[in-house]
Amino acid sequence: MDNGTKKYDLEKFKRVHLSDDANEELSRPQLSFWKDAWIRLRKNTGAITGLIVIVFIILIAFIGPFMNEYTNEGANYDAAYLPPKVKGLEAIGFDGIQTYEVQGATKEEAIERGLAGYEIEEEYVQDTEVVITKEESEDGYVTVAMEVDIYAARGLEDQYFWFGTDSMGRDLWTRIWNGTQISLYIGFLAAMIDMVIGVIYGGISGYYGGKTDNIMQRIIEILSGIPNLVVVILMIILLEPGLIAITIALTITGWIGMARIVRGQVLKLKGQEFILAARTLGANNKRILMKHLIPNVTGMIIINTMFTIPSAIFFEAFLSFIGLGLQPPIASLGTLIDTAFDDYRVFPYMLLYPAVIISLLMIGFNILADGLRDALDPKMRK
Amino acid sequence: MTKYILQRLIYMIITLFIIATATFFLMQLLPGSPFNELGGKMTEAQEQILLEEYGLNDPVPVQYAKYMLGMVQGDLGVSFQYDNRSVTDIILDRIGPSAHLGAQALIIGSVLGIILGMIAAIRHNTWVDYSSNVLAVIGISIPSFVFAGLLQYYFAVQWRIFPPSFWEGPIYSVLPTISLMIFPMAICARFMRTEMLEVLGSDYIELARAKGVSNSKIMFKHALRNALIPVITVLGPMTVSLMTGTLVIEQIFAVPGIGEQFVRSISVNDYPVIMGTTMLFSVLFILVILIVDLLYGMIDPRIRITGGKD
Repeated sequence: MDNGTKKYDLEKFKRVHLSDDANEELSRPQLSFWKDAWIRLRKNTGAITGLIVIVFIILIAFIGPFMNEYTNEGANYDAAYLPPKVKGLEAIGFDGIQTYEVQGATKEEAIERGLAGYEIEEEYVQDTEVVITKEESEDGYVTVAMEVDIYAARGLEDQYFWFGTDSMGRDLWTRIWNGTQISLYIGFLAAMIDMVIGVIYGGISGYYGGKTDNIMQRIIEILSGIPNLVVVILMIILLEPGLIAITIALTITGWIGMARIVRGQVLKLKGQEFILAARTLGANNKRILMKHLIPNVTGMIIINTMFTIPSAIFFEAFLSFIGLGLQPPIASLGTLIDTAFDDYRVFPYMLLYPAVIISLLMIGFNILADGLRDALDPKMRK
Repeated sequence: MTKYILQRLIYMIITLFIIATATFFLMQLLPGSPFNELGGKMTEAQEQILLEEYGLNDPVPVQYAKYMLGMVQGDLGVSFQYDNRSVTDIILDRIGPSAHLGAQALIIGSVLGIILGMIAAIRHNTWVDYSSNVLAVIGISIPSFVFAGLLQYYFAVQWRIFPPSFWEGPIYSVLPTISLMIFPMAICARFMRTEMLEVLGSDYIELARAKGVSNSKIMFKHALRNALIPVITVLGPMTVSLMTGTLVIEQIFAVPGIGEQFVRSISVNDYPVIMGTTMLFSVLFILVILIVDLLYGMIDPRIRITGGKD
């Protein structure tokens, strides 16, 4: 031993005996499939944002209608077409000021015609501004933007319609959140029905295989050739537009995707050892299917259901928009957007709020579904 | 391969047959006749002559046979809404703007989408990638009519950059095309990105890099070509989105196309036009799906269909 090492006392060094138990010990706490998936989902900022947005919208959709004294169908023609006004938020645009664009040969004439046309006293006009001068316009008229304190003009200074009112003076805040409830209801219901039918159909088809599978798959093949749009429109024409008709129309071909996925998974799983073990222990087909196969496909089922919800919400809105949706006085986000289109050039707020809410809902569901796919199905992770 | 094509064609015919049968019996169930609109100016005898003329007094099976035969020959019946105009006529009259709009949206949308997806994959995990992802999610999520409404409000009503509606020249097609192409673009970008990432991680790209092939050559010659093939599969969902899109967007921008006619026909219960358009959409959809499947099999040798086990 050289001098360098001599100063270290040999006594200080002790051999650590490897214990056999330590070898067997798991270095990480054991995680169930769902805990593991949740950890992965939690790391996905986008998916969590989507989840928060959805929860937030669902919460207000249920609380919102009770937050003010107005009702869904309470019409008040004195309060028709009032822009949004919120106490305390006047500074950021929720001030109840309506801008009308009026035309006339001169600025004065335009304003005069506007006042007469909209039945407004001159004292409530707060500001006027020429937007298109006579020289710029094609038809030789001056276009004037006229800002009016419409709440005061109608004698409703003490009222606050947070999202404004529609053509019948109904409170849009209440109607929009009630409409969100209806849209969500259709989305969830359609997704649930799709799930039940799809899982049963796909499960049976995949598990029994052979002739059963062959016939069931041919049926699917023919059904999936018919565009969804066509089926939905035909069903609605047949069934009289309404909540139930829309749900039936959406589910009549909607389950096909789910059935295909479940079948594929069941086909893959049914040859594995744990199924053989269950069979050896005497489990019958129903038990194997319900207790062993379906639970193993749960991840895929959840992912697919999460994608169905936004597409059902979209389709309902789309149907309402082309005039095949819900009939008034029931409102969904789709019917609200549809009615808003009639006069949104003057009253853009009628379009803006339902449009923003439906967009947020769709984005929320889509990114959450993407996140869930990454979390629940690591193989699909991209 | 021939066997496969034949099989597919048979399915296609069965599907179309089912749709046509369903539409026929649906029309039988619905109230109204093509002559209601003439407003009672006809006597009973005149109406009988007309019913006889159009074969509406025949027993249902005969009518069904005639209807099916007519459909095969491209005769879709007579509109209720316009006196004596055939549905085929109306559709032919209006298919121009729809086809124009659809083609424009499809081409621009998919080209932009492919470029976007490619850039996102090359600049993987940078801000370019993230913003292209955000754009794709937004494009897939926001309903086209909401998007069209916002575009029309800001670009036409507020800022007066583009005309708000009608169909009088190329400039009029700008806003409808943008609203219609946003979904194809988003779905293409998304798909392209995943495919490109997968290809870029493969061994032959590694080999190309190892032997010193230039970056741009790798991207365009090796990666892009292989990544493009699976993108064909999104043509199916894209067609569906274009079909649903035309219905609402033509209405919003007052484009005189099939979609606008369809929505109008729904509002006045003009069933023959509704059914005719439905059939047209079905044929279009089924054809696209068939073409996609065949093309895919032809281009990608890995999944070439051999026609069964034997």
